[in-house]
Amino acid sequence: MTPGLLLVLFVTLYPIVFAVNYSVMRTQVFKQLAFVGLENYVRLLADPRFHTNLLNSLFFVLVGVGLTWTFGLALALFLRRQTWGNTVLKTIVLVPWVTNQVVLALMWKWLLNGDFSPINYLLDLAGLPGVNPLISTVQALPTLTFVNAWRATGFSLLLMLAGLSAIPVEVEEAADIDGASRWKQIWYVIIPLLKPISLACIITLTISFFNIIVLPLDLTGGGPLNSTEVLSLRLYREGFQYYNIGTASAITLVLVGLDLVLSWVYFRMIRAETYYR
Amino acid sequence: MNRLRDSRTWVDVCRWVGVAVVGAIILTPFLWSLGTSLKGKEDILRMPPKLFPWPATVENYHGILTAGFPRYLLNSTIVAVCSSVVVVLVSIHAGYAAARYEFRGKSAMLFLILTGMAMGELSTVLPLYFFGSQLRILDTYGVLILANSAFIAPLAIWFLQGYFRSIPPQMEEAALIDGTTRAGALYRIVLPSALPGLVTVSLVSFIHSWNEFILALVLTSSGTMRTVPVGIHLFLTDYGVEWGSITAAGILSIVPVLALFLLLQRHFLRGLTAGATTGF
Repeated sequence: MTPGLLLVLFVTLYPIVFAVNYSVMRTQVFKQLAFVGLENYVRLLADPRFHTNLLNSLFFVLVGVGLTWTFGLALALFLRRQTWGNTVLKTIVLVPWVTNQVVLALMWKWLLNGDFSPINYLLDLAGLPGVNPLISTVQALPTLTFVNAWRATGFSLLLMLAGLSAIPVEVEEAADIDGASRWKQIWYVIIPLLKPISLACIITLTISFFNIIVLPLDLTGGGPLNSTEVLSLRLYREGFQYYNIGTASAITLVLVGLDLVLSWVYFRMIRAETYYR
Repeated sequence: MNRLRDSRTWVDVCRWVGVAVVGAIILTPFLWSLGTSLKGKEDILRMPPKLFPWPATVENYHGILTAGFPRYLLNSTIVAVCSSVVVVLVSIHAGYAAARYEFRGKSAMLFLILTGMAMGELSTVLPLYFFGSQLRILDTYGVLILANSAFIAPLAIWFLQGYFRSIPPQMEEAALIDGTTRAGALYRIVLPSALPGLVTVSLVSFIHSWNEFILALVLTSSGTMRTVPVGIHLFLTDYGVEWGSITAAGILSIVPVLALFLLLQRHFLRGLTAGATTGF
């Protein structure tokens, strides 16, 4: 009991107290020089690069979660029947999810590099111009977002399959008898019934996407020209490349705040949902 | 009748095409890297690219296995195994207490656990680094195991308490009446029936610690303490053009988790579904 609680304290109260404490200090590495109140926050809010970070994170998270959920649901509907081929494909979709992100980043980097990419070779054969999305300020962020959705689809697939297996067959049979088309059944029957598990999926993904670090760090390194520098990457840089612990702590609190608000919303919604039933 | 059968086969064909396309999208990066790792130096940077690594060579694997890579594998194994053991031991007891006892401060504890589940790893890195440097335990297995287990503990406790709740308490009560202690009831009656849940928790802990990057990067500094992901990351930044060795290292780092995952997949999915439907 107690060891468990101690471990939990390590990743909850301690970091929060630490970040609150350092975020109101002028710091030199870990030395606290002077109390400066909200100066670190004010500087961040006035910093155009921080605005870019926020916008990048928003795009990365909103589009990424949307894609991941849609892919997961589509695949789950597709793979519902327990056949041999479906089991194999389900396992395949889970492979990126259990692979570490450094390796995923290096694989995509190698696949998408401009000069030796097999994709460009095939495009060239088809008479199309080659691509090099990782060095384009416009294409890099969407590419990063897509790769991340590709990585996380296994997770949402698992949750959606679990959700689908809980829907009684009678519900769909009834819709079928009423003459609802397949699409209407999905839209009006299945998606609403999947709402609780979709919520769990979406919130978990949102939190984890806001906190992602390895994939952007190794796939694009925040570049080109900070066009893929998300909030978490900025935090890493402030903390461990520039050693601005005060600024890093302020960003940490922004992230923690986001995480906690999102989880709170989630539990409110879950409670409303169970009450409604 | 014939028309119907035709449309059946048509649907089946579409299904198989769909399966193949999705599988290809998922696997292409893996297969391309696997291919590269098996190519000789002169074949890797060839244009037009060779789609198949033929003649295949293991020189890339040989190269990294005779360099620092085995040490990284050893470090990752030690950290991942120890973290999983710590997490399982701790979360069994904490989860059981939360599932079966009422005590003061329980709701505060559950709230803390939920907060822990919501915290990103990144938010804990700075404080843990500071903590480690104060205690002078940076660059040791201990600090990595501590950091990893602390990070996974909230999820594991929450998951297991949900799982324990789904096990009917009557069996334990019967055992208690027969004179078993609480601990005896937990170890001999609850744990055997919670086996799928335990498998899930250990597997998630192992995979998470094996793949964990940011804590391992920040909390260690010497070459002999690096874990596999950190090693590959540094390799990527230091020698960004040696694609043969890098892809070989990447492939090797996937093999252990993938093997474990495939081996335990059925238990894992069963445990996850049971936990997910009762835990929330």
